[in-house]
Amino acid sequence: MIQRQKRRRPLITVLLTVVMLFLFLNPLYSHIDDEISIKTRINVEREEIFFRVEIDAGFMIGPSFLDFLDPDQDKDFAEEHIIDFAEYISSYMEVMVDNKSVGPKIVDWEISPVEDFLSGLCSITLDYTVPFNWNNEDEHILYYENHMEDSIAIYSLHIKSNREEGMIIVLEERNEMLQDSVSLVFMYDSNPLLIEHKEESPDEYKISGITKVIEKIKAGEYSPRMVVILTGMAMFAGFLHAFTPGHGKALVGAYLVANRGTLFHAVVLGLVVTVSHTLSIYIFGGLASTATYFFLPSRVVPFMTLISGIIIVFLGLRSFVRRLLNLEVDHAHLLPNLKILREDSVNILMDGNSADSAEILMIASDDDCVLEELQAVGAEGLNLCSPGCETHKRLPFKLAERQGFQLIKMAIETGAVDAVVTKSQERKIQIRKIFSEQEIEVYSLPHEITDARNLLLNGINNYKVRGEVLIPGDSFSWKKLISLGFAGGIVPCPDALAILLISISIGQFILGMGIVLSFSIGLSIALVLIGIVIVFSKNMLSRKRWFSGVSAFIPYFSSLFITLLGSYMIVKLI
Amino acid sequence: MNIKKIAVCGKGGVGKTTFSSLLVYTLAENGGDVYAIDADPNPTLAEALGFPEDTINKITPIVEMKELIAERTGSKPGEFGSYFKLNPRVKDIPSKFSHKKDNINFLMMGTMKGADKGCACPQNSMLKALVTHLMVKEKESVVMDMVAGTEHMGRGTAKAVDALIIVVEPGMRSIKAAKEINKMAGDLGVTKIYVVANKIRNKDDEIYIKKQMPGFNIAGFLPMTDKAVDAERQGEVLYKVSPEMRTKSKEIIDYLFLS
Repeated sequence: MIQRQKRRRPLITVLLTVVMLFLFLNPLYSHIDDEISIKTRINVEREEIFFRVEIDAGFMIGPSFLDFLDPDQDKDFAEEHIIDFAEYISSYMEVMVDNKSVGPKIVDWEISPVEDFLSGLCSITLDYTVPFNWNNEDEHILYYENHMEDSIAIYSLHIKSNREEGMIIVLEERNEMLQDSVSLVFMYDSNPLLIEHKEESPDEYKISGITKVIEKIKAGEYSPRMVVILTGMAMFAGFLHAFTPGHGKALVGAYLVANRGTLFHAVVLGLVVTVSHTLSIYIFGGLASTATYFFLPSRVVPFMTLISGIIIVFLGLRSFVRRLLNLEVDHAHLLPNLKILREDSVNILMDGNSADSAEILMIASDDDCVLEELQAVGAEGLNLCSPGCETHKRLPFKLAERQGFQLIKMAIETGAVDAVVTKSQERKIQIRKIFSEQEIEVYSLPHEITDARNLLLNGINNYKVRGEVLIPGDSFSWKKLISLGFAGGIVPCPDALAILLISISIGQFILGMGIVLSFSIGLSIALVLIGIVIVFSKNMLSRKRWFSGVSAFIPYFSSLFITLLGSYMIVKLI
Repeated sequence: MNIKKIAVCGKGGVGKTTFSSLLVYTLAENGGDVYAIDADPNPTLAEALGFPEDTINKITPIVEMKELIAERTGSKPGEFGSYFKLNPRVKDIPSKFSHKKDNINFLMMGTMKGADKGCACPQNSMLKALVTHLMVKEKESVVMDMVAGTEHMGRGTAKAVDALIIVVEPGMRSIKAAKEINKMAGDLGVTKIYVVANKIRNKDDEIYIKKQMPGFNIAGFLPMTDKAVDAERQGEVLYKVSPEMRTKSKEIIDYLFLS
């Protein structure tokens, strides 16, 4: 007994489905919001309580401080502006001494120069004091809270008392997790036990490793080897970066599935996204480095997101509406199969429902008289073409009907169809609405061999008097692919933009462009791979029968999905 | 009238495949090539014919020959909405793709896709075209092992069949199945329907069959023999090891010829 076992690989199918879902559901655009670190040092002194607030902001938030620090945009931080800024910052702080609210007063500051702000490295140190009367020996309570940018900020607290002068802290309660608030009980003790109080090591602001390297480059110490290493690292970083949310993965996927992309298309789409990405970074990097305030990254990125979102929404909606209105004639997945119609053969189109009667035509087509006629008119052969019955069966009936008709209409329009055979009267009427008797003959199903034979002979006759034949080739819409890829990649990625700006600010312009390019190459490799996986899994999944039903929906769903993604991008800006 | 195209139908387990192998060898003895086609969802004809095991393991059913189907029908399996040829060129396939043993050429069809035979897809198209060609156009003899016949055949093909033999055994289930097959084949337009009763132990069995199937043209009775069981167990060709079966098979062919 031969056991014919179907090679089942359910696990792979499940895996691929999960991969595809994951890639789709990742939001198109969601770069990680910027970082800010707020470090507060509290020194309890005899005459005052001293606060040093150190702010290190990433390059999206940092430049926004410039609105305060340099409102007249003269590249100079005037003292009055700094004081305004300090007061603005202190408005986020709550200080209470003995349950009475006191406002900290700015006394000193250290702020990195404006160029550093523009390139995303900025460091602000603000020193405040709160006066305090220490003379009595009672206990006192200090409460401090900082809620600046509390949704994204990383806080840290460092508290010290001047023991040599007799100030001791009796009790400390702080919010251990967030480190954004603390309550101290302290007092003056004229005979303090001088116990060494271990200073907590300050948290390092998580500066990306790139910045450390940049310091080195700034100093001018780098070798060719380092350039190679940097390039490699940048490529790797770009590669990994593609897997973070964003960068048009979902876009690539949606488009490829809706339009029956092949591997080649996946590659091209990935490349287009990357090229637009790189170019946009070069352009905006260049513009930003002119240090005009208009091109601040914190403004540019949202703006570009908006533009990109609008383009994507427009493309998605347009595609969806056109499909609904049946205007979507590129029907990319149909075109390759019109190639079944041959210019050198007699083509007889069988409507889906009548395909099972092909048998009698098949038998008739081998008849001697038919073969003779074929030879007489110089035809290579006889093609009985059918679209099959699985086509769009699962779509809502109206749509399925329409799709079926589209197929026939497209075929007839090529001019290569010599007869249509259909069982359904409605179909006949539909065809007649558009094409006249002269243009195409429509037959009902033949039941006898003589009818079949005659049908074929008529078809062969029509072949003789064919007009112009235009069978479209595989005209996959390159224009659409490129415009979509361009729109997807056009939003400059903050991280890559940062790299370029930093390199410009330290005078290593060429190096920066090179690194960005390597980054983009790594990115494009990843995107292409993802596109390949999508195409591959689509091909594998399409073997399963259930997929045929689902995939008929996907083109509609995809256009909607692309629209949603675009809208999401826009909404997120609000 | 020459007996060239025989379709063997019946419920699984009645001995249909074994009987088919007998027919194949009988026809082969007359000279000329014989095409043995296994269109059974559970393909066992190759073994019954005595093909060696390693050959059998290498056999690909036609329905699974993706490149061939794509090339001839113009569409890749798995594509939807695509046009494909309902009349693929199949003339060369029987000789090119069959496995040969002397003048016996074996082809395995594979199962048609879709529960309903009306499903038009490239694979089914290929199989139907092949069956049609074999029954209608092919010059050599053909013995096709199938279940009901109606999966693969249309009216035109049905007309070309010289004999559709339904195999039964003494038992209600196979007889019931035979009646259904008879009806379906009749609807298709097959006129030459015969019955061969297998696994007959004694005269009572014969009477039982005749009584349960009035109006059927019974072409012969095949005895239940140990030889048959042994042959299957040892992977031998029944036709070669049992003179009795040989004779019976020839008788049946003669009966068909004379009808």
